[in-house]
Amino acid sequence: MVDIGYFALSLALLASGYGALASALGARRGHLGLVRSGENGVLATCGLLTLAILALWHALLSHDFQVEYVAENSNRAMSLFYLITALWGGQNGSLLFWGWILSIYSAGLAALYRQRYRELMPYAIATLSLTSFFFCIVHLFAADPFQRLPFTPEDGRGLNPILQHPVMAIHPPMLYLGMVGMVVPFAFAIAALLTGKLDATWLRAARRWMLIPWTFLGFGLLLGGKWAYVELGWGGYWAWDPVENSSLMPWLIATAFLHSIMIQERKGMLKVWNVALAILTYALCLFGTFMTRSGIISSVHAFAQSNIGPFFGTFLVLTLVFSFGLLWLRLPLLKAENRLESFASRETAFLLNNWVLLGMLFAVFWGTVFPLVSEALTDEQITVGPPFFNQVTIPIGLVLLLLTGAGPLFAWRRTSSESLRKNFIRPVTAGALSCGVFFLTGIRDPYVLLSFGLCVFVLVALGSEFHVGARARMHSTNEPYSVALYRLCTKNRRRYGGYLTHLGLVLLFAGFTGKAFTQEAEIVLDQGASSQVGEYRLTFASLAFAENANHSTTAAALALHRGDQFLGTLLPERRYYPAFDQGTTEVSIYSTWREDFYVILVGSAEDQSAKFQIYINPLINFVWLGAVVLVIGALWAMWPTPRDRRLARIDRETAMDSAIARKPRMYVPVIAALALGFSPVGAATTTEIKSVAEELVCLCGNCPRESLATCLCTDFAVPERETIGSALDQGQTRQQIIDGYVARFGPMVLATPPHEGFNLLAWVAPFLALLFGVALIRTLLVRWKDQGQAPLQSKPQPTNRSQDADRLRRELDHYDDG
Amino acid sequence: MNATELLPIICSIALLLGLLLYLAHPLLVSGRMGAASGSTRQLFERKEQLLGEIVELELDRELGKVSAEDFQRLFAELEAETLAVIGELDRLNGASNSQLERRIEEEVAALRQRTAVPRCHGCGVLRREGDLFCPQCGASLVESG
Repeated sequence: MVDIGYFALSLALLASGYGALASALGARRGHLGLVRSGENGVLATCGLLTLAILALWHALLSHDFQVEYVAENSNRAMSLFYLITALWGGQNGSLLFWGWILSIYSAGLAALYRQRYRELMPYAIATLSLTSFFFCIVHLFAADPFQRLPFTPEDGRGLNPILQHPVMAIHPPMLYLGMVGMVVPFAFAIAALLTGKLDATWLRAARRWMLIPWTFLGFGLLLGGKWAYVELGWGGYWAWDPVENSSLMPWLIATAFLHSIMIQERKGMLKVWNVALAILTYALCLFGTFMTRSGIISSVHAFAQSNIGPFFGTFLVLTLVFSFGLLWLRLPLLKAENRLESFASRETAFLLNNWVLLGMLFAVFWGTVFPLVSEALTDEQITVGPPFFNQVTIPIGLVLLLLTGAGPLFAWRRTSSESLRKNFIRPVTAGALSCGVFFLTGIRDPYVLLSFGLCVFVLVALGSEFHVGARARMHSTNEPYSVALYRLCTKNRRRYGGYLTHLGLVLLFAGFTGKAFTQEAEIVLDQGASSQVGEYRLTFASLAFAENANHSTTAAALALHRGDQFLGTLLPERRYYPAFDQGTTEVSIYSTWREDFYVILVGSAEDQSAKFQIYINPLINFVWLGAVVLVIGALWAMWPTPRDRRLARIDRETAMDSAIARKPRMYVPVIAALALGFSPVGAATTTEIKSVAEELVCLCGNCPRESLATCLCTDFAVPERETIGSALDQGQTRQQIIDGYVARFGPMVLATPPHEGFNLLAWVAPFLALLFGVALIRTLLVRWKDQGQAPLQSKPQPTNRSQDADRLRRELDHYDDG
Repeated sequence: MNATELLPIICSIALLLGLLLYLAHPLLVSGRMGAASGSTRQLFERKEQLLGEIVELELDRELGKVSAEDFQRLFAELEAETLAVIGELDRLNGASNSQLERRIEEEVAALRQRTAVPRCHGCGVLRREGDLFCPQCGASLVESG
């Protein structure tokens, strides 16, 4: 079976290479046979890679330890479930999985669009095939999953323990479905550039194929957050780890794309920009893979490193050079057709949205690569940690939140100042009032106040979009309110689907902001003793040990009370996996909508006392709820409408391309897990220690330079936190302690680059980029506006008014009925 | 060589041959890609887009985002263009419809010729299979078969 798998891979290389050639040639010559043959090449590649995947699964399930991948990533003690997920648990397998998903996307496209987008499809298929070809080269020559060992080990090493979690079964596939799927819009962009068909047709195809991976990626990101929250045991869900960043970046830029294409579809503007966004989205996916796999930046995802970096680096550079070269050649075809009528329009709101998203993207990108830049230029190792990202992205995120609510209040083309006043007055008042209320309840952090205020603003703004729309419909159709609301949302799927994702975003932000109220405590308890943490009383009942073939476990049983009310028993565990010499923490959580009570077992002493780390995380469940709403909104918006079906029918009937597009109602923006954020408030000395430790990173060597405040390693972080505590007790100032660390370990111990010299650039660059963006947008707007001085419309010809109006009304009535 | 060693080789050869056949067979069917005429289609898409814009504009009006004055102006613009597109589409469709009707008539005529409905050649009334004389006028039907 392994031989067949390898052989199937070799054939897939052949089939994909042939597919690329045949499609491209067939398209150039207009030869239908070649085009069809190329499509078959894509379908065959998918079939062959499926065979290879099955072969690898077979090897995993039958414990064929002579295969290196099987021996490295599985063992006999693992359950069937983890044996199946081990396919993407290690480097070579996950790459094969990646290539397989790519081939599924390609084959799906080839099969579904056989009769559609006739002119674009062959080139899109050729682009996809070429990408598959590249992946097959990597599978065969750099990361062979079927590599055999010269001997057959008795047992394998097993799956990395931190990956042995149910969420891990779906988080990687979701992310891959997201990252890989971005190749389809890219393929359409390349096809549009090659054919010169740069009207909105390719956007129509690309939009849906961008929405699908966008949804997967967003969901995958949040699943990753969930996994980190329950498995990594530091009370948070987002750590601005380079790998997290590199999957967030494509998501941000894809969000920008989904918004900006609406301007082109409607106004014929931003053509170059949209092509560039599609290319960059894909390039960032490749870049992310390159960074993760090449190991040039240390990360929590270090299990996926190898020597394939150069392959991806080369491929990335070639892709960029080719795509942008092509874009350059096509610039004359990409002139804007339309002009801007008024600054107060949804067009402007979309531009601002793109500006903010790209600004955030740049900030994340810059923070991720700055350590490399700095090391290359100044020869000094520094760390860019979560505090940097939080400080830079929180203000940008808040502007985004503002746009989430403000954007939809603008109409296309022109919004009169009177309607603006009318539409803004209620949300703004509600936002301001809630700010006041929150201030009175004792919240003083300006970011927190602003964030909650903006959440209310967006909720009211979007809520009135639903309410006013439903009421207007109720009056005109005499439907009951609920029916009117439902019909409103189905008749305007894209708009209201977009609004739903905006609501999801508000929930996410509420959850992120809750982080500001996190309380944490580190307590040592003897058996039978109890301790008060916030409103909760925690009683340490017992400690137990267990061992199985895979790992040994220490578990503590704790009773949780609020007042006299018994809430439940918490069972935090600490596991040790001898095969990996690695420990994991299994946290225990008492979860309510208001907050999570989150307990980590740090360790136990011989006298049966145990040390616990406790986090009370308010509002955190809104993050997960927000993710679900986001996905529902996206599904709502991408669901085919009668109009899509009509256009598809026309496509099939004429089997032709060229078009003016539709305009989607997706009005999605972003999340950007603004996690961590905001300074914590809480108990006395622990908080002081943590506030110093947050400025520093752990140098234990096992963690990916996690914050010294959260790392749980006993050989560095825990003792160093105690050292900081005693230094504080001796009266040393915060700065003295931090300076001491810099003297001992060099600047890399700092969690953020120092505000001086070259490193100042880390802080300044993102904001400079934003300023540059403002200048650019201003220039663009003014230029478009100037063009808009020309008379707008030729005079309508005199026609039979009432008959025409009837005709139009009939067409409009049929518009949504298929 | 025993059977277990042979099996992978046989499978591989079968796979290779299957692949080659699968890739090659569309080449036998030669043909050209459809040429671009597509004006109907382009108009159709434009119509869909314009109708969509009108729906949006009306919704925006209901939601109070567009002033009455702007609404009237924008609506008039959209209406004029939409009607122009619809008119053009009607013209093209009309042309293609009359072509289609002619073709259908021809086809129907051809069909009639082939599977002529059995009728009496005297009075034209429908007759049943096997009747020797017309039930209506009594004419002999034997020769007319």
